[in-house]
Amino acid sequence: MNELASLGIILFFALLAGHLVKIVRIPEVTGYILAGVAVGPSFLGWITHENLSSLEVFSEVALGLILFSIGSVFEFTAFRHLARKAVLITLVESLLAGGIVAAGMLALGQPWTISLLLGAISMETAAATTLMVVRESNAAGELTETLKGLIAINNICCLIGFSLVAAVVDLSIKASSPDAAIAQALYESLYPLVWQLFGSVALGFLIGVLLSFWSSHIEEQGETLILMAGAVLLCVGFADWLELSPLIASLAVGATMVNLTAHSRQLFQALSRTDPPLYAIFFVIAGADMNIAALPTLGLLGVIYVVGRAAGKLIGTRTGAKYAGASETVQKYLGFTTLAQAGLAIGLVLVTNQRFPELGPKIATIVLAAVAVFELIGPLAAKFALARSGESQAQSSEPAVLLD
Amino acid sequence: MPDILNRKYVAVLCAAAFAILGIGAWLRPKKATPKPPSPSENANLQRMVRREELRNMGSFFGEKATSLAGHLRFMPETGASGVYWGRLGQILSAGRDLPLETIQTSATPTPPEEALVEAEGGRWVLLVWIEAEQQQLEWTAGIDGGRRVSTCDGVSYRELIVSTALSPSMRGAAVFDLDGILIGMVAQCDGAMHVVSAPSFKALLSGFADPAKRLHTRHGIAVERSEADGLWIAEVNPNGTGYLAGLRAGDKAPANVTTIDALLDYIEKRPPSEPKQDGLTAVDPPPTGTRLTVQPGSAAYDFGLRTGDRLIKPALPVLKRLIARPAGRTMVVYERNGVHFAKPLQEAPKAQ
Repeated sequence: MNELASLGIILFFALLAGHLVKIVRIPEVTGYILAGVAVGPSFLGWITHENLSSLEVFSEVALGLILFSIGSVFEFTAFRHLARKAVLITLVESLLAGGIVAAGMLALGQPWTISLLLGAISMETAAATTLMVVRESNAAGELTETLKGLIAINNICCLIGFSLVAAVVDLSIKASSPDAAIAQALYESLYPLVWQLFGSVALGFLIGVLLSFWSSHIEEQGETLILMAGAVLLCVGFADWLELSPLIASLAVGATMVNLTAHSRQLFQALSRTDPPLYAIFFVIAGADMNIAALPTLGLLGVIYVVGRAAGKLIGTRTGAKYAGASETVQKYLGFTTLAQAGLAIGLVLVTNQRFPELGPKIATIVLAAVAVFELIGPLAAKFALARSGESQAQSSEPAVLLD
Repeated sequence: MPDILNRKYVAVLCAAAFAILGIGAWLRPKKATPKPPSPSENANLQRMVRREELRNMGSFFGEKATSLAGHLRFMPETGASGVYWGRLGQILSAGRDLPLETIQTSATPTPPEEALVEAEGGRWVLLVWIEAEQQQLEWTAGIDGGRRVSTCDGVSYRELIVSTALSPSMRGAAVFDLDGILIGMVAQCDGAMHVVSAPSFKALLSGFADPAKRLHTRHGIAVERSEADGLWIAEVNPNGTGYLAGLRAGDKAPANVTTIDALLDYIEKRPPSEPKQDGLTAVDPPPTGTRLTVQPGSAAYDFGLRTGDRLIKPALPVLKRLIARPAGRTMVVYERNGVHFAKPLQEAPKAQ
């Protein structure tokens, strides 16, 4: 089947899944993912691996748009009240999840390199999946605000954590080689961390300034959409070209724009009215790409990863929220909203395969199987938590805007 | 732009962002370039690559030849391979005495497509044949080296030049391009092996369709017909099968043989002359007759004799007498460059 036909199938199945999930009261995201699993290579095979490969650009753009939206969390005036709480909770839950997973792997006799890399990857919470559940639930309140801040910081934290661990592993491998030049090895190991962090922020900032400057001269909604889509595409494209993180760069574009543009709320609203097809494509593709056949290979290491990460997220958010002085609702339900795991974790598995080919296969088997589990239970847990916290307002007809 | 942040700060931050991107890109660690291999390593590597390529090509050619085997058949009549030809149950083969000939068969498998136009040179070609003793498929690959015009027993044809050494065992081998199109056939001509290109097949076959030409090519015999003598032997090659069948220049055709086809049939059915006890067949008879010196412009010269010819009959005094004033009809037989010729010397018809 060609790419256009597969795209049509994806949209129709997304629509069908969107209606079906309302009957069984599960999140739309889960419906999209299950629709993707059904039409993907794991079951019906209507969408092949070749189709998925050629449709990858849609996933990149959708992820860029999602992160761009999340960037609005960093509005200076609002974030300074949220910053301490969000940073503290994120650090505790990320380090605890990563720590438990790494310790569990070490306890099962895994090498320290694999254990640390798995720990670093386990820190990530899926931004797109979680934010889509928030959007679908029309949630608003302290839990929702804290969650948005947590997700934005969590992804940066995970990227830094992974880069640090990768640098240490890289250094240990290079230092053990006979012709090792330690200074050079240190430089080559730490460069990606510094470059990806600061370079991505710099790129996102420049594109954000361009976007803000131009948006003040535009009044028509159609032109606004063209401008924003162009900015996101430019950001993702340049980030890929410069080997930066498209995720952090998109986040920085959103953060810059929200702080430099007076009418940013209208801009984000305009975007939120038009992006559902793209998000539907993103999640159906994510489902189709999911390797369900890998689930039986999860084994004891996979179980430790799933249980350790879930325990770390639940305990970490509760502990962090308690020390940050968050409300009882946040302490009780925030952990359930952070279980989903996808995009960045899969990206980091690919990076591991490239940088450490001897460690890659084992890590990929565990993480990809665990992602299948978390992508199915994560949205359900998030929807449950938002509903129980009383912040869900699912009856609203207007789509939620991340900037409140 | 609203004054949420001071414009100056934004400008400074933009400059800082550009600086970060510029410096970061400049500081990017250079990807280590692998050490170039030493000359000996390089030579070894190239040898390994060549060997691997040849192995791959060998197996490819083998598969290709096997797929073409259905178009070939061993022909006991010619002792060589033949390829199915046309749609009428014929086989094209390189004969023992003819470069190419077609033989009617009962089997009519699909013949390979034949190249109607000459292909460009420089491409791989595959020579496929069935080996006579074991009757098994043999093949070899070569490069098409282009075409040239050649002649075979007086018939002009386009020869396909291949880089492969041709041996007599390859007679009748079909030459295919890598698309399985028949582009030539290995044939024997003047004792050497050549490849006749496919567009020349029909011309060459029609050239040898003339019985007189076949008689000359196959058996080394040229005949003439006269009202007085009927069919008589005008030329005999002592190395040919006609000589071995006992025919000599100047002889009349055997009784009941009135046509060339009948003479062909007579020669082919007649056993060759008795071999000597040592198993060798006499193909070079000892020189006989008288060596001649012929004056240009003389009656002997006008008759067709030349210096160096050896007169076999009649005796030299008889010829000397008759050459100036022929009386009746006398057959003159002479040998030139190993070939026996016969020519009637007869009295000019009287004016009415």
